Amino acid sequence: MEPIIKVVNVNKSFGNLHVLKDVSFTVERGEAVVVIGTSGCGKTTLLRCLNFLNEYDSGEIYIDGELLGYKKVNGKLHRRSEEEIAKSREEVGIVFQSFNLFPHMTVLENIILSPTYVRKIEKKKAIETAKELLDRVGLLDKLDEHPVRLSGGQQQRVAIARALAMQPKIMLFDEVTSALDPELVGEVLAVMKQLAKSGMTMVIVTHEMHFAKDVANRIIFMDDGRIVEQGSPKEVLSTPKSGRLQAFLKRFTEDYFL
Amino acid sequence: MPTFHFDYLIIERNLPLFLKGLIVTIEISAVASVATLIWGLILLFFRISKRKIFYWPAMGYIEFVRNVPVLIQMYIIYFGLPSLGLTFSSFVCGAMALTIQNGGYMAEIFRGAVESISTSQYESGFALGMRRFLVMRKIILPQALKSAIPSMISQFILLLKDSSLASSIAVVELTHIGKLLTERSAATYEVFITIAIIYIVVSSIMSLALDYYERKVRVLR
Amino acid sequence: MFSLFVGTFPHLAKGAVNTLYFSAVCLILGLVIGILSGILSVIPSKIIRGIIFAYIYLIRGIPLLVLLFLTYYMLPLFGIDLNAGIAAAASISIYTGAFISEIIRAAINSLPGGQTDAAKSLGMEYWLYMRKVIVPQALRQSLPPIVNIALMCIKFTALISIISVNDLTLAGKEMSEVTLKPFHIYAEVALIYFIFCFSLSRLGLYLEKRLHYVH
Repeated sequence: MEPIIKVVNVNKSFGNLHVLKDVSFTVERGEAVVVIGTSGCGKTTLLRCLNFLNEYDSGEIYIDGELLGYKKVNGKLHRRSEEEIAKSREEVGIVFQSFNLFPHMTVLENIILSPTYVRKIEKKKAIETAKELLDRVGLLDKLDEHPVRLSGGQQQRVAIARALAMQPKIMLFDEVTSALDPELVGEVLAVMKQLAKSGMTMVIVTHEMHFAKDVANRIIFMDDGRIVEQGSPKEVLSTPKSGRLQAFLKRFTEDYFL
Repeated sequence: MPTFHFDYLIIERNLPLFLKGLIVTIEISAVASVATLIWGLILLFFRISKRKIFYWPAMGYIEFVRNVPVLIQMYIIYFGLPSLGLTFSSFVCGAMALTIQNGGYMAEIFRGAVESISTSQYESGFALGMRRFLVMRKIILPQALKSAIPSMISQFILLLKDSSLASSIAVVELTHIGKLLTERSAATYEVFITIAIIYIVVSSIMSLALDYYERKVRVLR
Repeated sequence: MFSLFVGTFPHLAKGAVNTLYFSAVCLILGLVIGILSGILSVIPSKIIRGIIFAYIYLIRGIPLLVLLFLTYYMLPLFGIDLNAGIAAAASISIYTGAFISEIIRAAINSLPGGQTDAAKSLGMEYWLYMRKVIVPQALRQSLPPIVNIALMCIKFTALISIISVNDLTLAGKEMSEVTLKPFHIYAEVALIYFIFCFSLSRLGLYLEKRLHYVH
């Protein structure tokens, strides 16, 4: 079966800064892939390319067989229209480091907004689904609260529920616990672990090495815009092959025990 | 919709008049700006003083000029003062009203600038044995006033536009020229389009000067 | 002196009511113009952004009084007979609208980029997320500054007396000519304006405190 994500020779620059350099990899359906690397290595940029929030300059990204963001016309890449791009984002959910909940709406309204207006789901049904999702993340009682009343961990779990409400094929996570107080990290990771177990395809950028070891089917290590090593958690974390990965992991074993 | 017809001739013939009006506008604005600076500084001392006898009158004054239209302030001075025995020329009345109004805003600009100076500056001064007034004079104010220059220039641009109100107390500045010309010629909107363009050009020049200054200062920082 | 104030008060009160009424009309029209152009000033179309920029630049570059006269004399070009009231309402609304536009624009731009990131990621298109996510938040944030604009609007309306539209200032002019005590009359007028504007400024401060609590 075709991989659900196929990235081929992707490059991305911001002005003179060449951030992604010929990046290629695939993700199979149901896989949980964790991307690790030093800050500035391009992992967040890569993640944001997967739902075209960052527009990649060259190469190809296929989401479930369809070319993302561009159309191939006579061999040349033409940028798709805004409607087509918006439509492709319905299938890829993302959770951000800074939650990005809509502060002027309640938790429930946050979750049902896009399903009702974009997927045109009937409001009653959307509310039902929202309640189920909130229950899954353990926040059903916070239905009518505004985000400002919730802790960071709670807001992040709502953000996950909001993304899941669109019933995406893929979920992206961009350092979703980095902005949280340490005590709140666990509740979010628990939700993510559960999600991975249920078979969701996930691409996760994180610093949480224990989580990676526990949940990832595959770990990708990036450095300076390129994929340096990838493999199973055991391969990558316990027996790193490249010098750069060894140096990177050394920092973690000094603080944690892997 | 009637055709738009622009009588260039009348404008051309009266260019000297427009120029005269512009000069008076610049004169009254310049005089009022300088006076505003001085008056604003004086008000500042009252405004930031810890002593209630200085603080409250300053606050009252500033609230007054903020909540009463400039035009009324002008009328009080031009029409009202003579009945108390104080008569000034219309130019002076206009300049006074502009100074009174903008002095209040200027004091607030200065206050904001002074408050933005970090307390460590005060502490350094006190640590060197300097008293509060000296610290203000030599350390705080120079820095505060320098950082306030962009806001000050913005306020002067507003002042220039407010000077148009002096036309209603018989100051023959640019807007008044407009009133005169519409009365004695057939041109109406042509006159005011020209006047509008002149104001836009002048305020643009001032804004550009402001941008230039800000860029110069930013680079140095 | 007291009898002076009491005697002139009815006439001044009528003028004051006119001033408030006029200010309200201009504020409402100004809000419509301002909110629309504030939103248009951030949309992806360069042409429309340019038009709005030109509008703001030109309007804020001239004194309100000049705009007032200009509007008055340009009315015939639009097929309207010279009418000071219409010119006054139009020019003050347009002028107020320019200020409101800048406030809305600043509010929209001050929202964190993550809001549009999240909205786009949920598959929302531009006008949907402008309508549901961006503009509601921008409006909420703009409320205290807009109360300040309402205050400015009341002060703006004092100018309409110059083209003989009935308001508090014109009433003051008339009373001072009748009583020959201009200082007292204009002081009284100043007091009335002060009460109106000061109340609005307190309202603005109250709103700012309340909104900060919620968000």
